[in-house]
Amino acid sequence: MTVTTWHVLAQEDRATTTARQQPSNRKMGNVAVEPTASTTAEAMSVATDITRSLLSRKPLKWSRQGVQVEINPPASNTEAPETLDSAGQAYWSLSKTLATHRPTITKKLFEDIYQELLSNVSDISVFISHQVVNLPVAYAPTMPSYVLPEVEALLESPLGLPAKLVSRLKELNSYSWDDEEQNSIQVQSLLSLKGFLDEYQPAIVPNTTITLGGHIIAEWRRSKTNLLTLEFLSDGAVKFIFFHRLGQAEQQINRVSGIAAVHNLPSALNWASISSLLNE
Amino acid sequence: MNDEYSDLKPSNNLARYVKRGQVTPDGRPAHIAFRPREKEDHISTFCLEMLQGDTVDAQVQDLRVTCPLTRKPKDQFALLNVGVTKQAVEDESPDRRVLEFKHVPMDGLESHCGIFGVRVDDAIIHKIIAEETFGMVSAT
Repeated sequence: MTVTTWHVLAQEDRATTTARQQPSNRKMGNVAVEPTASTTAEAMSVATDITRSLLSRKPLKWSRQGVQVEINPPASNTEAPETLDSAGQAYWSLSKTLATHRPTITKKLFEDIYQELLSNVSDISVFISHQVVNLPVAYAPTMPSYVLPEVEALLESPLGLPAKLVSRLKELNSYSWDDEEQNSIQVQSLLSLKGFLDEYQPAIVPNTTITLGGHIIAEWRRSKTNLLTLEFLSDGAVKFIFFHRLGQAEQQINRVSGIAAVHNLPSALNWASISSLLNE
Repeated sequence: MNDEYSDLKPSNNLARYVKRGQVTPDGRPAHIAFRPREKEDHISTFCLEMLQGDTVDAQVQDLRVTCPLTRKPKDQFALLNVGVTKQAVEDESPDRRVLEFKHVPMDGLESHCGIFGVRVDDAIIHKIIAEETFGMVSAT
């Protein structure tokens, strides 16, 4: 049996996907899991059906081995690939790329399955993402994404982040590919970082690192006594560390840390000093 | 519990293994590199003076050979001086924390040491320690 992941990114409230274990939702980051096809041709046929549904923006109902899968593709704002063939080809190409570049994870999860995928596809499964993502409409990517996990799809979508930052985040995320201890970037952490950048519009692109759990850490640092470090957690909260001088006195350094919601940071911290750090 | 281990000297230098994802693009360690793991009561390090070699370069090279940790390209060792780091944390932490730097030999790993007195949630102290790093060298 060959299993491959299939993630469809869709706008909240406009796309729903139902399947086993996920009776209803208003979430993005789909789905699917079910051994269905027994030959490469049949697997391609399933992929084509799903692609066709996305391209035509018509719902697809699909029943195999007693499992019902229903896909309601994004109704608008979705830029379709040029042709069905190219979309299908892109799908298979990505499947193989994923298996090739994530050997540790794919081996662990789908040991024999992915090995087979690299040479001979015999089945296709679509499976439920257990990572529930509540994505604000404003952040929804404008293109469907085949196969890529949500965070990678998001990083490929027009999020409106500086190119330098996106490139760095992709690099950080890639560290999970061959390191079992390192989690990929948590989607909510990425969205929380984006929320912060959207709200406060810093002129300076932060230095970023990642926790083993997949939380993004962004830092604006002028010196060892003048810095702001934010760790964006999966629940929308932010852990902060803020070092700054109190007035003009050389020795008076205030060092604080804590946790707050993004929109509460100005009241939790000395925002005048932070604005200076973010923008100068 | 820490009494069973001997104190390091202020002149000793330590190397802390830092994963690549915790190194900033400009080559500094993130504060989380100095966050103890959940089940550890210390920050695990290696004492350079307990490794083979008369120079930092030689000692780090010996550490690369003897360190049992699985490492990836771009992983680093952050270098710290015991006396400088201890003094910085005492001077700069809000509660004037006094850390203990101990020799904690492990099987086949004589150079292993620990920084005691730091908890998982002591973010300011993690940051102060990170800022006292005097060098970053490749771990591979």
